[in-house]
Amino acid sequence: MSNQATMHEKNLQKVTSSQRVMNIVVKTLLYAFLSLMALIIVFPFYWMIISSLKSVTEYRLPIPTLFPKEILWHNYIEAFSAANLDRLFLNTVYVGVVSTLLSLVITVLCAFAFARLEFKGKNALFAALLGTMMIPGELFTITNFITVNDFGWIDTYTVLIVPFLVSIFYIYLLRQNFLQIPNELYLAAKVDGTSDLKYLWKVMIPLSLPTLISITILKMMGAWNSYVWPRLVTTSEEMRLITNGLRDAFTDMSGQANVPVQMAAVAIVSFPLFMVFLFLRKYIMKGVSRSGIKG
Amino acid sequence: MKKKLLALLLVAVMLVSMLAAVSCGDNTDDNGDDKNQPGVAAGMASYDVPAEGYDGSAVTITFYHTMGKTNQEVLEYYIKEFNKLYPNITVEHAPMGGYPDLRDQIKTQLTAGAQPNIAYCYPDHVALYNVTKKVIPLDNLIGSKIEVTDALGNKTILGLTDEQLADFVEGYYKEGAAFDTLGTMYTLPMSKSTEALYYNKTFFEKHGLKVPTTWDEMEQVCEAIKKIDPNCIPLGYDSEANWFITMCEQSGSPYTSLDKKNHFVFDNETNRAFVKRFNSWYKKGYITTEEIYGSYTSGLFTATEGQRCYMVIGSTGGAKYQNPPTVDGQPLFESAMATPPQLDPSNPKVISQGPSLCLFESENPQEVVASWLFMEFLTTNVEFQAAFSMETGYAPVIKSVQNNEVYKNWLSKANGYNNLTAMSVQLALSQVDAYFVSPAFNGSSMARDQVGLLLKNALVKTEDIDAAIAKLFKDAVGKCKFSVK
Repeated sequence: MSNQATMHEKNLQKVTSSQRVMNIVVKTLLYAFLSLMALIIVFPFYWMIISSLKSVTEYRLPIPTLFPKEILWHNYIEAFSAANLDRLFLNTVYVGVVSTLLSLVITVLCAFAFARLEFKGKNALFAALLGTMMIPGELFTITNFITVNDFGWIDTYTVLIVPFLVSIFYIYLLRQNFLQIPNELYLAAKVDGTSDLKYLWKVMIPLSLPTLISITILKMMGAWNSYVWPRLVTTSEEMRLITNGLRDAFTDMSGQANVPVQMAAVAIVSFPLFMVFLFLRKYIMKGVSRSGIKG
Repeated sequence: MKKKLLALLLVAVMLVSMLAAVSCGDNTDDNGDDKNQPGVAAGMASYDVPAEGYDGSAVTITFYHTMGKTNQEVLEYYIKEFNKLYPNITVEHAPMGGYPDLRDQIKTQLTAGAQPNIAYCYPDHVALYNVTKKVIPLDNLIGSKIEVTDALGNKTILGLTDEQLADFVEGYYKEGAAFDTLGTMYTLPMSKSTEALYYNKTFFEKHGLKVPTTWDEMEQVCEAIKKIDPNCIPLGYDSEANWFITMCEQSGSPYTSLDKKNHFVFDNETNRAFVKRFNSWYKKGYITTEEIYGSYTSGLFTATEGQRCYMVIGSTGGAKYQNPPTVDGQPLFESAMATPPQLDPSNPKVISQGPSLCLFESENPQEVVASWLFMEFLTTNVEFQAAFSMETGYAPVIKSVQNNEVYKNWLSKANGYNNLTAMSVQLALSQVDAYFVSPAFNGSSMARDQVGLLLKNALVKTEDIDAAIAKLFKDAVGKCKFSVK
């Protein structure tokens, strides 16, 4: 009997140790894969940083160097002076903050209406709004340009903020989130005599905060990264946004760019966005996952 | 049922909008084709200059360009100088990034009638803009004898004087009339660059090599260099498109034509032959180009280790990038420049590049005349042309700049160690009789892109070369024709 028990124990030990080996192999492969992916993601950033510290001659070497032979910090100073980065920063932050705040108000009110209020044609209207998402935004560029030109908005902050205040995608995202809040809460609040707006402010917004934060971040990132529209509707340097400044300032008349200085400017500009993502990434992920929609 | 109906309705709306979009596209193409082309108009397009010329009224004009910060400082200084003559003309200038950005910006603004008054341009851009017929033909302005009095009391004519006309470098000036068979002027040259052969003078002298003046000599020099340094690529050619177009011009074989029925005439035996020849050079490791190398070939020319090249054919506008590398402040070699190789050195042909200026229509005729005065100032003012050339490394477009003392002094400082820029301007000025320009029409930009791509693809072909080259030519012509359908 005791022999049998020993055999059984030995078998168990075998199974456990083979499981352990398997676990180690799987984990090793998994981490190797994840490390490789991480390297692929990080490499462009690394390339940006090392390029920003090279001389033009070194940057153009036939076999690129993986670390600068001579570190040129003054590329960063040159980037500031060549591109008027401070003004570009201010413009971008102003446009980003104002458009995000106004966009949030509109998104919250629209999403609330489509999620909770009952009115005639609600579904048809929502379907029509979703339908607009099927048409690529680029198709509207020329017509939008003609419209804002007729309004006399060219080269103003208005033209950088107003045309993109309403985002159907964000409304959809928030509406899905609002729909997950049980109806009973709304009805109970109504019994207590709460107004719709108060219910929205006191109940729905706190419960949907992660989604709202992710909308805020996505909107800010959108404003920060926008290129085509600001390029088109701003004609003076005082009104340009950061992306346009980065594109314009470092190319000489022969079309050749001072890439190291340009990379230094890109590094400076990426930094705030990088920090935002670093500190707020859990909200971005949470917001998207809670609404049950893939990125 | 209700939902089904709604879905059907939405599908119907989507289909109608798609059809509307498609039909809109068709209209645009139709407009963009035959009738509105400058070259197809029955008579020469013209602009009616206001009888009073410039009446001194206060106007604001906008000028779009691609200048960097330091170039803008020169411009701003001379805007002030211009305002001493015409204080009521306010010039607002704006950089628009690179040339493609500038072109796209103006193209979009033209659709809304919000175009600037003056803009930097390349001939292809003007041909594109002129689909809207909003580019002003300059002939009547150039020839205007209307008297203008500036704020300093000087009396002059609105147009260009005979002396001013004669002062322009002919090859540059003629570029403004490359848009139709009637020779309508649409642009004035602003500042120009060309192509040059940069070579490692130290290396050439050390090995007793002769700087090639013909393509045959170039082949021999490449062979000799390859024997000295088997790991090198002797020659880097930056722009494949320029190479192809220049070879067409040097061979006297067709590239493009203003004949709207047959714009794209580059598929011929002569052109296929030179492409095949360069393919054999590539196989021997003699050459590379910007697209094949992946960057401007100055990277190979100034390389301090590994593979390198000893000759580059590139823009004079990028001369500063060919300055030799330094170690502890000492240049590693001496660079020098020469006219690129020719098929017939007694009849040299080199491409002319660099921005010109064009004027756009405006509701206020005084804006147009004021813009013309500013354009005239920029292109004919000796001090501005000199200062701008020294700042940018581009050649001035008027000959009299070479008599300017400051400019002469700057040119005299040219050297192959750290001032190839001045040397490149010297070279550009010395080959003014060799410049050529290609016809510009709606589609010429596509032709340029396609021949560049063709040459690049042909160089790297390894098997059944004749058939492969024939196919590349046929495909390139097909794509060009499709683009203007």
